Amino acid sequence: MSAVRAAVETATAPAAGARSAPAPARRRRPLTPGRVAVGVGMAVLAVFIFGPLLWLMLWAFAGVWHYPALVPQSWSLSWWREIFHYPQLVRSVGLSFTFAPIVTLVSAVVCLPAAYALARFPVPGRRTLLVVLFASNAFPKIGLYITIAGLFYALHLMGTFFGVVLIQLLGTVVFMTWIPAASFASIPRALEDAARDVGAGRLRVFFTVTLPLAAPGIFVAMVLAFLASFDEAQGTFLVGVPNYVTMPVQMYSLVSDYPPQAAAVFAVLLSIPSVALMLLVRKHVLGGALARGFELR
Amino acid sequence: MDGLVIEHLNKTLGNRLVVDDLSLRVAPGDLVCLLGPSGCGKTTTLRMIGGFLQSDSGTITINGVDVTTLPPERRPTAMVFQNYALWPHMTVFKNIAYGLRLRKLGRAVVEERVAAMLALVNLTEKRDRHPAELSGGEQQRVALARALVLEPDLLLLDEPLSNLDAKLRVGVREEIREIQQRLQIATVFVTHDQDEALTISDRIAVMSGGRIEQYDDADGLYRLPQTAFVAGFIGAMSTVAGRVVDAGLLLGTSPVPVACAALGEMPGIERGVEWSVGIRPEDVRVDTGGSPTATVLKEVPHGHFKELLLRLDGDDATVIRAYVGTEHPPTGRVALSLARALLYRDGHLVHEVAPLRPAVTALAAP
Repeated sequence: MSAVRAAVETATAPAAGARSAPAPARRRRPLTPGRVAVGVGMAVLAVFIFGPLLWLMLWAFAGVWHYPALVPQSWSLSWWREIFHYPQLVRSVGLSFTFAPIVTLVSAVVCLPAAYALARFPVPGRRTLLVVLFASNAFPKIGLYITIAGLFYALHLMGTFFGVVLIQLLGTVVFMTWIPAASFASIPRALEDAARDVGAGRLRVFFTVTLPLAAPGIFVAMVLAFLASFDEAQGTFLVGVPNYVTMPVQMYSLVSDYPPQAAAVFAVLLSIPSVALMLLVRKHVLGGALARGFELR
Repeated sequence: MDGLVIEHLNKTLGNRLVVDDLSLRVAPGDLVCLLGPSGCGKTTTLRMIGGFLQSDSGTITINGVDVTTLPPERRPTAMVFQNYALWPHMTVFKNIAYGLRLRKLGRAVVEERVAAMLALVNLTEKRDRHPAELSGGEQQRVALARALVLEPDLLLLDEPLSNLDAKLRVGVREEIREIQQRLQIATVFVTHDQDEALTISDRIAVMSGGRIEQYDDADGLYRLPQTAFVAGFIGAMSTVAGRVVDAGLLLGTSPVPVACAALGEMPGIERGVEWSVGIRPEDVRVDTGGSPTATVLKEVPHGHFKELLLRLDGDDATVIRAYVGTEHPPTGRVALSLARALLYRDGHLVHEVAPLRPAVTALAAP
C-alpha cells in the first residue's frame, strides 16, 4: 500500500514541483527531543501501571524473597495449595461468586426500567435525577456506608444476606442507569414505531426490537456492575462481617495476618474475573457504549 | 364508503395548530400525495392515519371501520418510514417476516409470502443480508416489502425517496407506482417534491398551514391552481397585477393581448378593478415585431429550452418569465401576447382566460 503511494508520489513529483519533494522523508520520523520525551513518558507510565502487577505476580509464586534481590531467591506454589485448603478462604470465593451475579441481576431488574423511562419519556427532573445518581459516587463511600449502617440496624439488615446485596447494589446503580439509558436513547423511535405498525404490542416491541438493539450497552453495564459488586469491600465489610466475608473483605485480614505470598495469591485470584470480563467487553467499551453513557444529556 | 375517509381532523402540537379541520377521501386503489412545504402538517396527518399520533378531534375511517382511536398495531395500515426504519439486528428475511410471524402463520406460509415479496421487489438474493449491507435503494425496497407483505388496506409512505440520490429517486418512484398499481392498494404518499407528486399520483392534496389548499389530479392542479399558494407552489408561475381592458390585459402600462379574443367583448369579467394575474411561462408568446411592450432582461438556458426574464414597461418594473426555443431567442425590445392567463382575487382563482369557446370561463363568484 505504502509502496504504491510512494510510486504515485514519485510519478507526480515533477508535476507537483518542489512541494511534494520532502514527502518520502516523512516516512522515517526524525528523533526530535519532543518525541524522545513522549517515549520516555510512556515508558514511565507503563512501569507505573504494570510494575505493581508484575511485582504481585512474582510474590504469588515466590518461596523466599528478601531485600535487596530483584527476583525471589526461590519459587514455590505452596501458597496456592495453602489458600485452597483454607476453608474460610474457599468460602469467601464462593460468596463473592454468589453475591456478584445476584447483585448484577437485581440491579438490572431495578435499573433497566428506570433507564428506559429516562431515555424515552419526559420524566420530570430527569437531569437532576441523573446527576444525583452520579453524586452517590462523589462522596467518600465509608461516610455514606456508616450512615446507611444506622438505617440497616433499625431495619435489622446488618449481617444479613439481603443487607449485603443492598449495600453492593448502591455502587452499581450509576452504571446500570446511565449506560443503558444512553443505549435506549440512541435507538431511533421509528424502529419501535415500525414494529408496532406491523402488529406488535408495546411489550413485544420492547423484547424483540428495543432490548436486542440496546444489548451491547446493557451488557457493558452488567459487566461493570458485576465487577463493582465483586470488588466491593468497604460496605460489605461494614454490613456483612462476620457472617458474609467476601474475597475483597478477606483481603484485609490476609494483608495484616499472613505473609505477602498469601495476599498476592489471593489478589491474583481476585483479579482473574476482572481481567477476563474486561477482555470480553473490550470491543464494546472501546466501541463507545461506555463513553456514550456519560454523554447522556 | 370504501377506502380512506378523513373528516374534520385537528391536531395541535405545542400550541401550534398543525392540522386544521382537514377532510380527505382516498378511493380504493388510488395513490394520493400529500404535497406541501415543511411544516404544512402532511407528516402529522400521515402519522395520525397510521396511529402514531392521536388526533384532537375528527374521525379516520378505513374501509368503513372507524380507526380513530386504535393503536398502530390494530390498524389495517402499513407504513414505509422516511429512514426506512429497518431493524438492523434482523436479516432482510426476518425484517419482512416479522409481521407475519406475529400473526401465527405456519413456517411454510411465511416462507412463501416473504419469498413472493422479495421477488416483487427484486431482492431475492439479498434474503440473508442485514440492512447495513444494503444500498439505500435496496433498503427502501425492503421497507416497502415489509409493509406490503401484510396486505394492508392502506399503504402509507413518509417521504420514502428523500434519502436517495436524484437519479435513483426517479427509478424507485416509478417502481413504487408500478407495484402500487399492480396490487391496486390505496396509498397515501407524503412528499415535498412536486415532481414526485405530479408523476406518480392519481390525485394530489396540496397542503399549507394544516389545510388542504386543493385536491385534484396532476393536470387540474397544474392547469387551474385554485389558490395563489398552489399557483406559486406547483410549477413556475409569474404573478403580476393587471386590469382588464378592451385589447386584453393591462400589465404595467401596456395592454397585452390574451388568447385570440378581445377581452372587452367577454361577459362576466369585472373591469376597472385590479386582478392578480397568474401566467405560466409557456403561455407567453414573445415577438420581435409589432409594438414592443417589454424588454428582455436575462436569458437562462435550461437545455432544450431557454427561459427569458422580461421586464414589462411601466413604473413598477414588473418581471415575468417566458419559455422560448433555443434557436435565435429574441433580445432587446419585444412584444408579448398570452395564450392563457388566470385571474385571482384575494388569493383565489376567479377566471381562466383561454382560447376556448367561450374564451372566458367563470370559475367562481368573484
